[in-house]
Amino acid sequence: MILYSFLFALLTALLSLFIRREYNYIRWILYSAVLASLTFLIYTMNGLWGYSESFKLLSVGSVDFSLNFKVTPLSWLFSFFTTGLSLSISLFSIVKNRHEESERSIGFFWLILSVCNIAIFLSADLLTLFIFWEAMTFVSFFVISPGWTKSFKAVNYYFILSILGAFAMLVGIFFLYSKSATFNIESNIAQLFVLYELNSPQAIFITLMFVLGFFTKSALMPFHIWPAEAHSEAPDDFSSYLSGIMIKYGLYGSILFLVPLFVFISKFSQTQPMSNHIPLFSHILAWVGAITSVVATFLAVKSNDMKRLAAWSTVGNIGYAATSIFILSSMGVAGGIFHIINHAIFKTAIFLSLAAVKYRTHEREMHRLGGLAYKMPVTFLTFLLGIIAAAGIPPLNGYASKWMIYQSLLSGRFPFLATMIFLSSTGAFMYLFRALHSVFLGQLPSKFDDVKEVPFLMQIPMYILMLLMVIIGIFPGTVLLPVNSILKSMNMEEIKVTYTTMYSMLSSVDAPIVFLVFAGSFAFAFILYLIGKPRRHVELLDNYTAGQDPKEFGLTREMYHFALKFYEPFEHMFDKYPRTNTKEFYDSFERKINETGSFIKKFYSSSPRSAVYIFTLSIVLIIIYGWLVW
Amino acid sequence: MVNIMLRFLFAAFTSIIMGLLFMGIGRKFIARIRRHYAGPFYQSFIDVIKLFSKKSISHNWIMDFGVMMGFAGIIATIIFMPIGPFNVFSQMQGNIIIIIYFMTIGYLGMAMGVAASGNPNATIGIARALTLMLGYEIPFVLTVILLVFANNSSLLQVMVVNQQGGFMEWNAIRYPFAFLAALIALQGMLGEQPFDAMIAPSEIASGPMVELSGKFLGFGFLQHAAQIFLETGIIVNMFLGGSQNFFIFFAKQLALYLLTVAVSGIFPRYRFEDAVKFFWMAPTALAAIQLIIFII
Repeated sequence: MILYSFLFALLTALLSLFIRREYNYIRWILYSAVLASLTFLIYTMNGLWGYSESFKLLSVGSVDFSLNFKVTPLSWLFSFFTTGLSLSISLFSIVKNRHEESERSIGFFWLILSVCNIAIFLSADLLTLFIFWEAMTFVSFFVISPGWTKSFKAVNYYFILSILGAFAMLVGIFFLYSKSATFNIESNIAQLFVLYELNSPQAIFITLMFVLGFFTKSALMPFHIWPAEAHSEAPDDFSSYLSGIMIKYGLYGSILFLVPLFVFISKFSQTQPMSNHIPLFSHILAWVGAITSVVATFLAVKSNDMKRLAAWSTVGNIGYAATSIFILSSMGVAGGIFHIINHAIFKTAIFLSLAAVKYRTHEREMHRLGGLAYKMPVTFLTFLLGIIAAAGIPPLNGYASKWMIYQSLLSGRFPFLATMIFLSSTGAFMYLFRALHSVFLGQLPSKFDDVKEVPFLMQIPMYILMLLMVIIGIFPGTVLLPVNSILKSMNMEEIKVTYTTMYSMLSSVDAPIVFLVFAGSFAFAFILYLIGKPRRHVELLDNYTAGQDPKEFGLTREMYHFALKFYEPFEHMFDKYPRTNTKEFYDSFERKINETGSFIKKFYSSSPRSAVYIFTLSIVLIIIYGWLVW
Repeated sequence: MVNIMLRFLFAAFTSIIMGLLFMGIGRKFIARIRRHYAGPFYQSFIDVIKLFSKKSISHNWIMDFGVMMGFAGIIATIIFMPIGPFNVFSQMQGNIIIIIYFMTIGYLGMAMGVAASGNPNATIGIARALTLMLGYEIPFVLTVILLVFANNSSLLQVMVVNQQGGFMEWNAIRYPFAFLAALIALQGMLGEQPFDAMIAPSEIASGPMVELSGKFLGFGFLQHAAQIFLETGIIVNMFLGGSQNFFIFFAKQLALYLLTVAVSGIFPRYRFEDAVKFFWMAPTALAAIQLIIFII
């Protein structure tokens, strides 16, 4: 069933290539239909834990290589939410891509990507995971850069880092395979645990390979630069897919492979160094997450490009989730998974509203925009709810998961991690408000006087996402109860939660009460507002200008919009300190590679004879290596 | 249900009335320090009533909505704070993390409302306020974490119960460095001098308040009053043992507020980036030292 649906989707993608350009909306409607049926299919698999499918690729001797799919609570939750969100994005794309130049390649590869997405989550062994991981990396390359020069430069960071990470993961998988002779995930975790007891450095090396693979994909330090490049240059609707869904694969891999391993170690190992009741390795990874979130926050405060800002915000949120996952308490893992789902929802909403802004204005620099809330109220509301959720402000979904993350950090006694998360959370409020103000509030530039709200079909996904944010905020149990079954399947202690209430060791929160208190206070304020004398409406430029007549000194609306260098004094606070620039590091790395390459090329192409020598020598070296090792 | 609504209204009105009263007394107090005259202690009530009955201008619906939301956020936060022996809800008695996050609604609402007025002075003020928030949040959160660890609960009510039995049991005496850090953070939270760069009347024309008139300014007043009540109340619950008596609770709040007013009466204004630096140095170090002492 799973495999056939994949083949069906791939076939649709192939057939859709024959649709002519004038009718390209049919292609996107087709995709939405395919995604809807896939979502429904995954929905019907709820509860069929352990259902598996296998498809033999080839057998070498007695060894079978096959694609294995399996439904577990973890894979179900991730695949269901991601496919549902891709459905809402594809609804948005129907209208958005009608006048897009390169929409054919975007659409074709995107549908393949959606298949890879589900396959990654449903894969039952490491080989299947790796195959679809690679496929996803290659396919997404073509979606981010459908032949555009600027995005080609940006996508290179993404592509090179992802490929490096994937190969590191491959090294780890083969090392493990040579020990355990199986690709099965559970037995490989057990094997790795045994290896920790026997040969600790080798086990740490293998784990590090997996960590590299997962962290490059999820853009944790020091690989945090690619989202800002790739997310901002990708097609606008695809940015929301990148940021909401694709960046989560690394964290999914961590929950699938690393967390059970570390839990094993913390329960049974006597030889591994511990700190704060969790393995030291895991504690370091949690710190990596926290540092990532702080760094990303400061970089987001600096950025003036709205998509770049949202991309940095994504990196920051991934940092929270990673911190929460790697402290290994069931509260932490649950909070991490919950935050991943919530982030997928609100970041999709944020990116879709930014795509809507760009669809109407063709601008990305925030200081050139402004005042769009008065023209595009639905987009504004989507963005507003998105940033309320992203800043973790009640009563939307973001605060529920952040509350859980704090509870897990505090009850696990990690004071400094909690402080760093608080710092980046407050910083998140800072830069998100800046985006809200610069794009949607303030003065409306006169060139946007006849901007209209986006078409209704583009508004539908926004309504859906707003509704989701509110519902999950009021009833966190809708996500947390499935998360509980994930914890159960991972043999971890379940957290105490009902549809409405979340409990922790330190306190509990009743989400509907939180919502009602907010609603009640707002009603209170509204009554006071009605009591006051009715207001008079005044034009936006009729404003306090220190007693001068605006017309006299030629004041325009663009001049009166304070958006450029919004937090400049704050940025200057850090001028005195030496700065390390990761992007420069990678650029210099690239230059070095180029130099080496041109050197080899010169040597290689000087005469055919030397090329033959090098070829023979490398073959001989490989044979000798194989001899000695095997 | 009716019971809950009555309790809700009680908390809301108490906070507004006491906050306005504190504001009036604070004005008189600062006049005494600076040796000039101030209006009567009920002047703030007169101001608010006057503002609500005057005509006002608004630029768009977001401004109306934002200003209301700013006030609603602070009121909603007060609902979760124990006021003396009084709690609106029987569970969630002052969940401090919820309180910290609820406070941001107020800031977001006010910021949104004044940014929608389209005046750059207002937005500059908001940018300063948010930057300053990044400063004082760190020492404040460190003290919160310390108290959560010490009481093994994140409920303010539990912290109050654990401080009963004479002032030697108060957290202010037990953790003096953290108390000092929290006091400095309180100064920043209330936006009193030396941390009032976001209002700065002579520089950016009162910052966020520049476009507010009539009932909008009235909402600003009420929000500030409720904020005084809320933030002093949190510190009283956390460090000064709360109280089982309303009047003692209010007296403690007033004492705290007068302390911040006294400090603000004699200090000039910091540049706000210097203020952020200061917050990250002195009070953060104090709170961190206290936390490390506690953990060891």
